[in-house]
Amino acid sequence: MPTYLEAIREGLWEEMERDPNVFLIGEDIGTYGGAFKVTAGFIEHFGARRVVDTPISEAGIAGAAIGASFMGLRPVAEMQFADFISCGFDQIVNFAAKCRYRWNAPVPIVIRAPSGGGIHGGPFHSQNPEMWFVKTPGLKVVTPATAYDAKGLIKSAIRDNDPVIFFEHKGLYRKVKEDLPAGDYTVPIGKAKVVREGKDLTIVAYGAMVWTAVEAADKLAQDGTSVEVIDLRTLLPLDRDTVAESVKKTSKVLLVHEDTRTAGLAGELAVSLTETVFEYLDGPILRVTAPDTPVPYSPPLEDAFLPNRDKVLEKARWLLEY
Amino acid sequence: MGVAQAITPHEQARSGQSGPAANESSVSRGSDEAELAWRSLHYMVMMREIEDRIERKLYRQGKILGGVYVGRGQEAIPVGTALLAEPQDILFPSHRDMAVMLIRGMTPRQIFAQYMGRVDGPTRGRDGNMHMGDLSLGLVSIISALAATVPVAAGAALAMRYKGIDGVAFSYFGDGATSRGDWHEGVNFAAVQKLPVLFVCNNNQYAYSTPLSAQMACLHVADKGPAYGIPAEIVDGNDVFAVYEATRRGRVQDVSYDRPFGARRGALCAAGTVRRMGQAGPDPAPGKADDRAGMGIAGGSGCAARRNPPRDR
Repeated sequence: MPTYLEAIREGLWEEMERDPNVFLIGEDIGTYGGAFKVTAGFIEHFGARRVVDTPISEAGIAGAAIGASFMGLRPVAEMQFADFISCGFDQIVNFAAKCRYRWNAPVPIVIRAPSGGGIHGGPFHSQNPEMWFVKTPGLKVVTPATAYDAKGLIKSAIRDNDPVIFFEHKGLYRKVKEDLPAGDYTVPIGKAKVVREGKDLTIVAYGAMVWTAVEAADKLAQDGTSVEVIDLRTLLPLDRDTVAESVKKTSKVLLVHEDTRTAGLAGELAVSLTETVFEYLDGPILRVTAPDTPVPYSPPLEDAFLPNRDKVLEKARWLLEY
Repeated sequence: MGVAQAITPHEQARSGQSGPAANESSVSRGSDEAELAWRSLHYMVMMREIEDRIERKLYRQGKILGGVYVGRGQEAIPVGTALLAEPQDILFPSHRDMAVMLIRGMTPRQIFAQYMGRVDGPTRGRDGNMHMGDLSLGLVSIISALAATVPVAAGAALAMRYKGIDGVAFSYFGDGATSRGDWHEGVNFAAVQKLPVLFVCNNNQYAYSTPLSAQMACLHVADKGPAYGIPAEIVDGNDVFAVYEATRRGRVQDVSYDRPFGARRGALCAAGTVRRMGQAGPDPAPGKADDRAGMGIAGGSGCAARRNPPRDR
C-alpha cells in the first residue's frame, strides 16, 4: 500500500518513462535521492542528464526550468522545502506566470514544494506559502491531501502546459497511504472533491487539514450530525462551484486551512460564496486557521499554532447551533 | 553610397522570405569583409533609425506612451554578436539590443506595433517597448527585472545539451544587471554545469544614474568571469568588428578545457561602451560624458564600420 510520498514518486517515475522530455532539477535530488527521498533511485535509472543536481540557487533552478521549457522540455523543479520558494519568487511570479499572457510563450514547468508543519521544523521548514502564488494570475496551484490525488495531480501537473506549483504536505508523506489503481490515471486540476457527503454543515479544507476536517466530521457523526467535507485539491483555479453547490444543500459553511489567517484562502472563498449563494446561507461563514505569526518551533507553541480537530469542532458546533 | 537597401514588407511577402535574413536583400556584396561591413552597417543603421523614429518622433508626439529605452550609440554590441548566431541558437536580448531582434527576423513594422501597443504587435498590446519575444525566431522576451533572463538562458542551454542540439544561448545584460542575485545564480549554474552560454555584457558605465564605481568593487565586469570559473574578455563595444571577432572566439567549437575561449562551457564577453542618452525616454542624460574610460566617441558608434566602403566594387 503506497504512502503519499511513494505515490508522488510513482507519478514522477511513470511520467519520466512515458515522456522523454520530462526531467528533474533541484538540490540533492540525484545522488542523494532528495531530502525526503522522494527521488531515491531516479538517477541510477534515468541518468544524470535527466536528474540534475544543482547548486543552492532557487532562482537559478526556477529560471533554468523556464528556459528548458522554452526548448520543449518539461522540467519538474524541486524546492527542497516550500519555505525556500521565496528565494526564487521573482522567476515564478514575474517570469513564469506572465510569459503566456505577454508574448504567447507557454511555460510547462512543475515546481514541487514540500510544505506544512507539525514536524517540529520551526519557522523556515513548516510554512504554507501557497497564497503568494494563488494571487498570481498565470499560475496553477495544487495541494493534494491523499495518496491517490498526489499521484494523479503530479501527472496532471506535468502534462499541463502552464506553470504548476505542487504543494506536497510533508507531514502527510508517510502518514497517509492507500491502495492505488494499476495503470495510468490522472486527477484533473481545478476540481474539488466531496470526500464525505452530508447535509447539516459543509467543511472545506485542503492539504493536511482535510484529515483534520474528516476527524471532526466523524466526531460530529457520533452525535447524529451529518457533515459534508470538501477537499479543494486545487487552489488555483479554485473550484468555487463545487463549494457553492454544497452550501446550497447544507446552508452553513466552515473553512479550514493550516495557512495563517489574514489573506488566507478562506477570506477569498468566503467573499466568493457571498457573491453567489448568500441567499442560501443560514449563518455566517466561519474559518479555522493558524494565527498571524510565523510557525513556532517548540512543540507546545506549535500545537497552539496549528488548527486541530477540537478547534474545528468548537467553531462547527457554534455554527450548527446558530 | 546611400542608405542600405532593406526589403520592405511588400517585397518580403512577394518573395516569401521570413525569419532570419528577412530584413536583408540578397544582392551579392563582394568579399567576406565587405559583406560583414555591409551587414553590420545595415543593421546598426536600421536600429538607429527605428529607435530615432520611436524616441525622437513618436514618443515626443505622444503616440508612444510609457517607457522608451534606446540603445543609441551601443548598436555595435547587439549587431556584432547576433550576426554570428546560428538558426538553432537562442537569444535573450535586453532593452538596448534591438538589432538582435532585427537580425533574427523581427520586422520594423512589428517593432513599431509593439511600441504603439497595437493588437498586431508581438505581444498584442499586453506589454510594451522591448518586452517582446518570439520563440519561432529564437528570441526570448525580457521582464523588467533585468538579469532574470540569465538563469533562463542557462536553462535553455541545458536543454540544448539534453536534446543534443549544437547551439549556444546568447545572454545579454548591462553592467547594473550583474549586481543582481539572478545574474549570479544563472552564471554560476551555467559555469558549474559547463553549459553553452555566451554572456554578453553591454557595459555603458551607468545603470540609470548609478555609475559603475557605485555598482561594483570589481574594476571590470569581466573580472567576474574567472570568479565563476569561466573565461572573460573585454572588448571595445564601439567597434563592431572587434565585437564580432570576440563573439566568434566565444562561440567557437571548443572541446579542450585549456583553450581560453569556448562558449561550449560558458564565456563572458564584456563590451564597454558609453550610454549617450538618458536612461529612458524623458530622462536627461546624466551619463553623457564622452571619452569616459577611454572610449572616445566621434559622432556615433559604429564609425568603424562607416569608414569601410559598404560595397566592394
